[in-house]
Amino acid sequence: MRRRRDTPRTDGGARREPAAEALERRYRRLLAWYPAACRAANADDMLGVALARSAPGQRWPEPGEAVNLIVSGIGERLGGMLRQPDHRDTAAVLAIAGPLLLAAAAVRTMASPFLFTPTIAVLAAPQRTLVTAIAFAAWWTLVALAGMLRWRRVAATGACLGLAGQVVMLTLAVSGYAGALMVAYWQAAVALVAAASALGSLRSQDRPLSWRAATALTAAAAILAGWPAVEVATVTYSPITANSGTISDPLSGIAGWLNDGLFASILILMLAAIAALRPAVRRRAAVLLLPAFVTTALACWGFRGFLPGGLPFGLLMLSPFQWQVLVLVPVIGMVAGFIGLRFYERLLRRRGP
Amino acid sequence: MNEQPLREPAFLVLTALAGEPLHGYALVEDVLRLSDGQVRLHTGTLYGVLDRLREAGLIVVDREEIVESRLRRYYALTDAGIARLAAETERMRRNANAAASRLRRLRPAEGAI
Repeated sequence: MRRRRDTPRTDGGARREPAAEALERRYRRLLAWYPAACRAANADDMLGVALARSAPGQRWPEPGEAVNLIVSGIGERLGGMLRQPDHRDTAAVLAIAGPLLLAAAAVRTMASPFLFTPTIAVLAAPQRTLVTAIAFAAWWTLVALAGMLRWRRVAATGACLGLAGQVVMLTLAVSGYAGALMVAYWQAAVALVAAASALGSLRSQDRPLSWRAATALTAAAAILAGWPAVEVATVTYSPITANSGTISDPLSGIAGWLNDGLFASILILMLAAIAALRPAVRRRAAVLLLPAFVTTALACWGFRGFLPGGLPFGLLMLSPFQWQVLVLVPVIGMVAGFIGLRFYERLLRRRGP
Repeated sequence: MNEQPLREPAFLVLTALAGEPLHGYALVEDVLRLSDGQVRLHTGTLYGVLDRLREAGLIVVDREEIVESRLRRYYALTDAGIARLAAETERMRRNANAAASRLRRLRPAEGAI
């Protein structure tokens, strides 16, 4: 067995921390990546092994060893979370809700009245948009169904492939207008959550959604998807020349009210679906959905660019600051939500059953 | 039997413990020897393997010692661990025999070309 030698050195008279102490301190810092329970059980033993492996006079952990400890620590944390039934069941719920939302969004694009209005349709490249939307709607519906039927592997594989598709759409939208970009952005974010949740719920056994929750979610998705279809039915286009015409929309006067009302209905139905979950799952689902709500509000009212179908209205590009906000807000929202959840559950445990 | 085949690090850790109870660093060294220097377990990987083997009931903590004011924990195989290692060894032997048999048949053909 190799032995470490402590080699205390001095620099210009100032006392320098001995190599062994410095190395141990740095290894302890790396072990902080592990969950507390894991550290309590193994930290001393692990530290002994890590230090025994080190060379004499070594002050810093080897890069490979450091990366291995960080990756293993994160793996333990994630694995520990997924071993808890509450986390697994929450993941199973999101593995259905995410694809359902994405399917509804795709149907919404398909039914967009703009695709049926020839003058605007030329700008929107309808054929490609329509085919892509049909493909995404069918795909995400199948993934949601697989999740509901508890075909976990099928749902996970489908969600990962769907995520790849949404990332491709996001990449194509990066150089485009803010409206299209933000639609692609939130869809990719939801797909990421759906794929991660589907993978996390692979070992979940229970039926993830009660009938009440499943009905509320499906109704919310149906409203989201169906509203443009109503618009399509009411909007008429009267051509004047080959490239121009007039659009008649009898609902245009109350469109704002209707849109707000329908979004409120969707929100209420989603809250009803969350309320139908058991308390521990409900709390986690709410925390995970919080960034989605915050990002939606930010894009809708903050950026004024959340347009259905990503059509080139509002010809504005995102500024670097807006980009940073768009990326940071959901992350900060989720971290803040989890910190709040941790404190709340600690409080509940203190109060007792 | 639905048991997944053991991965190489887990198999080598069980093999090392088949000799005698060992502590973490001795396991790293023994696995390195057993694998002819091919498998050098990092600390995080080693404890991940040890945790999984403990959860599966294949190993237990044999004893703990304090050496140079540091905890040293020794691990030992359980009866289930011995049975699993034997089953895994047999499975690998069968696979190796099958491969050797096919290679024997292949060699005369190669010589004829």
